[in-house]
Amino acid sequence: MVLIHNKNLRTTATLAASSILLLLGACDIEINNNIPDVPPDGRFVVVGANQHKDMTDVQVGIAIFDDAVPVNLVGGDVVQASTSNDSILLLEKGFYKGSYVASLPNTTNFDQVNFLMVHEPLLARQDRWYPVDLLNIDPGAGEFVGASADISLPPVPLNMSASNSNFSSINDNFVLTWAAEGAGDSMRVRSAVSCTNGTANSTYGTEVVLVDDSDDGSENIDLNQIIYDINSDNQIIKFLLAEARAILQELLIKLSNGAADENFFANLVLINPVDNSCEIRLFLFRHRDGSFDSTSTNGRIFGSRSADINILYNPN
Amino acid sequence: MFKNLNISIILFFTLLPNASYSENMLVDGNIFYTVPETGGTDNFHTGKILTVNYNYYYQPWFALTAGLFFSEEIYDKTQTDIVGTYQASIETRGLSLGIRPEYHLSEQNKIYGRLGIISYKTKLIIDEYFEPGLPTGSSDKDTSGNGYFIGIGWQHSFTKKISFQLELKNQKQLDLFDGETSADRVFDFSYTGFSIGLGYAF
Repeated sequence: MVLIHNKNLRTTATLAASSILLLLGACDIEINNNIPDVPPDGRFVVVGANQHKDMTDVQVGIAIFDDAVPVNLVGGDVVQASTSNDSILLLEKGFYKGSYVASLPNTTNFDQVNFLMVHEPLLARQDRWYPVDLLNIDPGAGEFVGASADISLPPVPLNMSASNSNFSSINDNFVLTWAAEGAGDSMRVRSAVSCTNGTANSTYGTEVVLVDDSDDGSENIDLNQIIYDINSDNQIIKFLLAEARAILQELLIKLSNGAADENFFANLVLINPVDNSCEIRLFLFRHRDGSFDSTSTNGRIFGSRSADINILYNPN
Repeated sequence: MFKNLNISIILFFTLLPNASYSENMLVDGNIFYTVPETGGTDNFHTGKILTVNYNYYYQPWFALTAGLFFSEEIYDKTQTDIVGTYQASIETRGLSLGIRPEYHLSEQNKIYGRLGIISYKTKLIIDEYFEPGLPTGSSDKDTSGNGYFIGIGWQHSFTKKISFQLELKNQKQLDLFDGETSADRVFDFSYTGFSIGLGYAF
């Protein structure tokens, strides 16, 4: 989930995005890489795990903040995510500052995922080019080692379908249906949108605000929560943010075998979506809250399973 | 394979014919500008290795060559990962033994090749920094082994005795830390670059 490794590239992309937004007078789009809604005081932890339909691994991620400042895990302290069969260290830095991600193998579709902070000075250095076992500088375990959290992945949404798959107006709407489970989980609908005029593309993601997010098997969705007009002052669009964005970005890369643009959700709006053809990949997440081992830990923790369908927007 | 290199070099000097022949010997000193590479995620800065070679000509176009090399401390670029920020550096020294065929372009100019084996001792140093409040550290480890070198150069004679030489060269140090770490952590160091130097014939 490392979207922009290169600092210069990141700065350039950010500046470019800022310039474009100023030029177009677009709505207020969050483009920085700080996780939003982190409280200014105290420790705050964000933990998430998602397994997409037919995929054999779970995307896992974690971020820790102290007084809203991302905590870097250093010296060999690293988060380990495990199922009953497999475990993996979260060694890759995620898009958001202070976040760490990995793909946890889960071929047998276990539902329980455990997160544990461990001290692994050698394994954490495993990508270095020199023999880390001979040249190991170990400052010792940090204060987080031993902390844990548990996530239960809900069932994957089955039989997902839309009442219409071709749209010509952002005033259109459709009914999204799926097989309800009735286990008390909540649902999330997110989109990955790619619009083109033949020469330029705009890509972005949206979070569809649901009237009722319960797992009841259907939801009415207005297309103007997905396709928008950059010149309109009456937008209701909600762009994809935080861990939802990070998970969907990683999912797109996985689903395309690495072909998806790492900046898909950077909101570099080059053409006006409402006037152009757009391919919409609609994702439905079944979402379940997890738990930290310590009741005093403040944060967000969830597990989800997802599925997707494709719909098209071709304006008249 | 090359464990007896030191003995070979001694034999090289012992078996030399009468060394009083006129100008069938050349001593050259060179500064070798090189960027060490392991083929991994290392990204070394350019470093300098001093080489001194003794060349004995059996024929006007063919010499045996034996030499020494010593490097300065050559630094890898600073890298940061999930553990911390670290910088590697190396120091290397060793012996070389090989052949030097030559082709005379003119009375003052010739091109030459060099090919041979080396015995090296290399020190790898790691300096690592963590977050403020955590102690920094440094660790180093020596390793030794063998390898080979190959080069092609141009020699220009200012006088009968003094010459200048420019050489493109690759020196390969094989299997660093072999037997000390796991097989997948053993690596080679490749030193590619050019050297400039002066020769004295006698």
